[in-house]
Amino acid sequence: MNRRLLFCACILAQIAFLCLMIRSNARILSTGTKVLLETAPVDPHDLFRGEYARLRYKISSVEFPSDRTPAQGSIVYVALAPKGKVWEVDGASVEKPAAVSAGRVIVRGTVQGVRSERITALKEFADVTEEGWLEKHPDAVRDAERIAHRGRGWKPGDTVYVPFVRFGKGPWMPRFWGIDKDKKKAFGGNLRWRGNDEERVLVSATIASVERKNVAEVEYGIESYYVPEGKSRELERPRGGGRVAVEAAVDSSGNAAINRLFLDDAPIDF
Amino acid sequence: MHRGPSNAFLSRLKDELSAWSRDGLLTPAQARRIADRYDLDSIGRGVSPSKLIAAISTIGALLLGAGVILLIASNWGLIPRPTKLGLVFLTILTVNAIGYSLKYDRSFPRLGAALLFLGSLLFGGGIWLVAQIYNISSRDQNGLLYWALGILPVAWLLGMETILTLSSALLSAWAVWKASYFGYPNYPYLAMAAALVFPFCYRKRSAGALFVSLVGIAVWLGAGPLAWCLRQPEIAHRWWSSGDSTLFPLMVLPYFVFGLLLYALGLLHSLSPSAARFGRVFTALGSVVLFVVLYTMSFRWPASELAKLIARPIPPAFWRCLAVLCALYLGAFATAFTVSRVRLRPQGRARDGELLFTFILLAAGGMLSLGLDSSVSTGLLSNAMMLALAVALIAFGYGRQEPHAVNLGFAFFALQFFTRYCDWGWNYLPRSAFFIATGAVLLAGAFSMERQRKKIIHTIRGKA
Repeated sequence: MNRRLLFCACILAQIAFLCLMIRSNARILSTGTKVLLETAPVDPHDLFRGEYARLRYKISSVEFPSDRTPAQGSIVYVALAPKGKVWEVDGASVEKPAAVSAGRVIVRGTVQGVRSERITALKEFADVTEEGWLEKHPDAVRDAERIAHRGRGWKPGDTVYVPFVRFGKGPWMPRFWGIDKDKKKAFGGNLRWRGNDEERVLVSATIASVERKNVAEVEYGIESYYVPEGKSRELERPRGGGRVAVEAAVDSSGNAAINRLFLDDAPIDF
Repeated sequence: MHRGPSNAFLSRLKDELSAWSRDGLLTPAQARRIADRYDLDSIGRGVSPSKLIAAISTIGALLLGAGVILLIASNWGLIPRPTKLGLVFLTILTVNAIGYSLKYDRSFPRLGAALLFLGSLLFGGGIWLVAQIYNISSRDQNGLLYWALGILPVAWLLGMETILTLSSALLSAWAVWKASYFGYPNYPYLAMAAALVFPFCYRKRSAGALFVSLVGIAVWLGAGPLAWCLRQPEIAHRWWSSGDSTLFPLMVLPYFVFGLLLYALGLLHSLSPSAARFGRVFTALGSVVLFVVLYTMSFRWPASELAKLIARPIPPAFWRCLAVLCALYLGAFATAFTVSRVRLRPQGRARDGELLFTFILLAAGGMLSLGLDSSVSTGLLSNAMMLALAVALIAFGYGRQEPHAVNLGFAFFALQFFTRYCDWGWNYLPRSAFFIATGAVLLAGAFSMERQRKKIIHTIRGKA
């Protein structure tokens, strides 16, 4: 075969590879299970690819028992199950599960780092500063059911005070650094402070368990979303403090691809 | 790729051509054809026009590639997805087709080569742009790997050194990025470099690509295996509890042996006339690595830091890594020594001194590690070794008639001399006197060394 033909083959192979990238992504999106993931975008910039939002998910932190912690750089299989509208971690392993139970999907990720954390599980939440707040915002408490907190001397059965905050009409979020066993010291003793459209409430909770866990930071290959110039700020700091979620598709092999983004349940169209 | 003849050869050929024409060995037409073939008219007129064309074409290719990628990247919201894909594919196909045609069909080899290089850049741009269009962010590092592997066949097929160098640099960048990001050694890189890149560097006699590959391996060694060894979890817990943030200054020890290994491999190459040009790359890079290590260790803070760290528990994996490097060095040393003895060739025997010098450096390095409890003795020993390295490079360079080794030796000597002078002067002289004296010393030292360097280089060139 002469050089010209081989050269053509090389260049066509390059084009074929690019087509393969597209096909592989399209296959995940068309055949994969759609899952909605909560995210907190940050805003980097790539010279050659323009602006993109760097996405960090709630499912990016995965707990592992200390005796079965995956090594940095290894592949892990994370089970996701729906909790309300969004999907959350429902188990993880370093081996690929043989079968997946109904209503769950397995997503494959790479461990970017492992850290040891003391995980505190909370239960029996009760209103403290605003009567009826918990009834009006049941979803907000879900984020505070398992927290990484360094509280010294905490033990199951103790009562702690958990501050929640929201900006404008945004979602209520727990402020973990402000949790304390002493009600007066919760939120750094600054519960009544107001400003910048910020609201604060305090709820109490009972410690269900305290255990040391290894937490792996997992990457799923859906951590970047490319946006037109100047638009990433809309994702980084949504007006009114809206919540950004990503609809991703996960295929049967555990590969994930981003389908679209949502801001407060409405799809974002750039 | 067939490499062009050296400037020395061309200069000699130009002189000989005149003599052959004068003596009637060649007709004027034949002499003209030879002169045109080697572009002999440009010899002695500064930069060769052909090289200038190649340089300008390559810079143009780089700018054009960057411009096309930026254009598509910045306007991606305005251009529909299929149009954008079509643009990417069409650009890659067109640039490669025109490049190939200019290089092989239309006698514009340098412009054609620049466009083929641009084609390889555009393939990389294509990977990132497809990733952008479809939001494929998975394994960003692997984009570099696919890019490197995608252009390597083109480099093999067309024998293009620029594309090979790019591929080698991309492969190294992938290895270092992945190793440092995920914190694991990423050994497949070594296998890929050994199987795909190094044979090509040798086959195509590309010293530039070899240099880039060796630099890649040197960086990967630190970011991959060594960092992994020093980050073992059982020991990591102890660093934090003992107040030490990191064991990374320990890396100077394996890098010292790595420098010796490169130098010994360079000497091994130099025993074969056909591989001598690669030997120079190995020895030069080995010398630089050795100098950087010794220079670092000649300062009080790194020396005392290392002394503290070496007394603490160190992961066994680190010692294993160091042992492997030592074994590789000793293997290269023994092979080179045996080959030079068995062949009994003068140029082989001439390398014995250099080989023994590396061994003495290893022994001194061992002493340096053992005496790490005192930063003063460590500083003295590393300064002595650094001086020995600079003097040895000048002497060996003169012996081997290699100007680059002499230049390297003088550069090392100058750096060491002025660093130590500044250390001393800053502590013991008033500030104004320090600056005045430093200026005078710099000027006098530079003049003296430049004169010595030129004298030696002139002697080497005269002998050649």
